[in-house]
Amino acid sequence: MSVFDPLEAQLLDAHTRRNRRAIPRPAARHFVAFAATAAAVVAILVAGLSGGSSAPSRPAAQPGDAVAPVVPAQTTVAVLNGSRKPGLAGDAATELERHGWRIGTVTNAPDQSLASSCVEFTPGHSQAASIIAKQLGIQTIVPPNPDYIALAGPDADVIVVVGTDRVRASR
Amino acid sequence: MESVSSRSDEALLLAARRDAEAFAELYRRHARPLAGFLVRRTGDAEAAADVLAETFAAALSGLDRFDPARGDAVGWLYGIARHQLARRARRGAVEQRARRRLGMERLELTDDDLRAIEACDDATVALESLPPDQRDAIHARVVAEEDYATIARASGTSEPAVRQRVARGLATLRERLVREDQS
Repeated sequence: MSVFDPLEAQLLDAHTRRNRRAIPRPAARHFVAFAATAAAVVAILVAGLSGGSSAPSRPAAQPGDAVAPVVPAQTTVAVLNGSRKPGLAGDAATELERHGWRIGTVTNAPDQSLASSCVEFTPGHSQAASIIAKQLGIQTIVPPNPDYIALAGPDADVIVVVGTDRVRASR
Repeated sequence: MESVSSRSDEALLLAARRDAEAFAELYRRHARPLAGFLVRRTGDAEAAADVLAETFAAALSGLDRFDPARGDAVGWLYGIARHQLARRARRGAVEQRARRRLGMERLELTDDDLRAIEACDDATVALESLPPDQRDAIHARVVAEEDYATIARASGTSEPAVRQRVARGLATLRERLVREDQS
């Protein structure tokens, strides 16, 4: 027992507090949604004022993002179970299927004690990831973890990892 | 189920955004070697312990900024440590910004803690790994500054034998440290 153990305990404690803070941030998300709506309204008004004949200009594509709009039927979503509750990933997959997404691999995540669910996206699919996150009520959207890509398979565009925070939410 | 310990540093660092255990594993892998690096750079176990804590706190705060496409996990961690060393050199004190932001109190260090940090120094670790006769001879000659005749009498060998043990041991240490610096 030396300084290394108390420091590890401090860091673990700080990590737990950090994640607790990071999960509920609805205000920021609503602001983003509001800003996007406002921008769309302005774009339509501008198009209308400038003669109405020109098509509304499309916002510049983000680097690495697909220019094409999101088509759920052509977007493959893998679902990994990051909890020990059997069927949690299957439930999420069923819900996603109802929304029209193509379902890919549904399996267990390597770590089955993940506290918070997240949506991970491969390059070009960040927009699909944010739509899926909204449909499932998941707040965290991140680039993919290499371990998960290997599990989800090469055809997965978006990977949903369901954690223990969904155990209570599911029936 | 894949255990945390079999995953790469990069996979751990990405998983650590959500998973505290992944961060803990990364800490356990790198805290001691990093402490050794910091002792060598600062020559001061207390400052090394402080920079170590601040480095991991800054890493924890900046997890979302790690991008595996731009470099490996160890390079990222040591980059943060070097940045902290540079700030310490400029300001004459170790920063506590990242720790304060996370609500981490500065740890009170005991003599045992300082010894544990010093023991992480590569040179100390390398010394421990030498054959016992070479290690003892180097300790007696270099650390305790005894003369060859005294060491020879104490260990029941001849003076030339002691000289040879010291020379061989030092050569091994030198070779090891140079190789580690280059890698």
